[in-house]
Amino acid sequence: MSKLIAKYNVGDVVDDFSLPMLDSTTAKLSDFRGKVLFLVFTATWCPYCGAEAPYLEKEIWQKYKDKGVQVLVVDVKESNQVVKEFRDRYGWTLPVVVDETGEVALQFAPKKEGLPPEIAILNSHFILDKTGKIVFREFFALETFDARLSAIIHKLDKILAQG
Amino acid sequence: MHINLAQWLRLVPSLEPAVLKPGVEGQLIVAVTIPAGGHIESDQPAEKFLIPTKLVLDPIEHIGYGPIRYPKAIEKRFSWTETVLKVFSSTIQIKVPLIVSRDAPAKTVTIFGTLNYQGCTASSCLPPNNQKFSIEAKILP
Repeated sequence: MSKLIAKYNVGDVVDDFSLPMLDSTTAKLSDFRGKVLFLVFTATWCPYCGAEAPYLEKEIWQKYKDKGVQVLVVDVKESNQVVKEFRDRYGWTLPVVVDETGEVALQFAPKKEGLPPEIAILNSHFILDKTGKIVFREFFALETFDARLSAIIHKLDKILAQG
Repeated sequence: MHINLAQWLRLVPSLEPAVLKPGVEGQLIVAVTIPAGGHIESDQPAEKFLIPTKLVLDPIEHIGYGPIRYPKAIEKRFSWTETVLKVFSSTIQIKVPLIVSRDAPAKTVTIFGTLNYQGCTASSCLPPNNQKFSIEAKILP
């Protein structure tokens, strides 16, 4: 799946973007420079996203937030209210931004035949280093999908070990 | 191949009997065909985060609707969850008893309905959709 065509590849520095957070403040990608950033694209209706949701909070955010890792969940093409309900259902304390138009998702989405970008991007994971460079990219593939995020955890451990 | 999200399912409504009579119970049958390799969640999904399939009928004068009967779901295992999911695939039939009032006049009415569902192809899941259908019902004395 990593062979899918997308704007950003491993090694690319991501252009800055800003999106509203659930509390109506705005988050800019550049706000997180200096930290390792784990970026995940999600939607409340998506079964795989629902399966992954508890692990994002418990296994990634809670275990890595004090180790210099910033998590940023980008909800794609949904309203603030719907996303708030989803956040509350899973007890998320992790930061969530809402890409209501899908404009940011479009920048990251792979080209998947027959699927619009706002669907093709769901359950995609990116890890950016402290300079904003992509060091890991994983697009959703049913055959390799792991709701427990084992590959991400392994990769984060590796990046943190390298300093 | 491009997926037509708005018309992903094929919905074919029919009536039994084909002509309704006042005071006599009939039945609306909605045949739902799910594209090969795909599925939709059942009316009672196995996980709280899954969106149930739901048939909704618009109210209509002189015809009452009985409890909607969904088929038995297929239990299916997926690699991404330990829970055995309850889904619909292939072609299913959703049935609704129609109770025609005794004072219903002879006329033709149109029953409008919507199927709310969330489906997945063999490789991706699709956003929730509300797909509409309609059928003319002739009421004879």
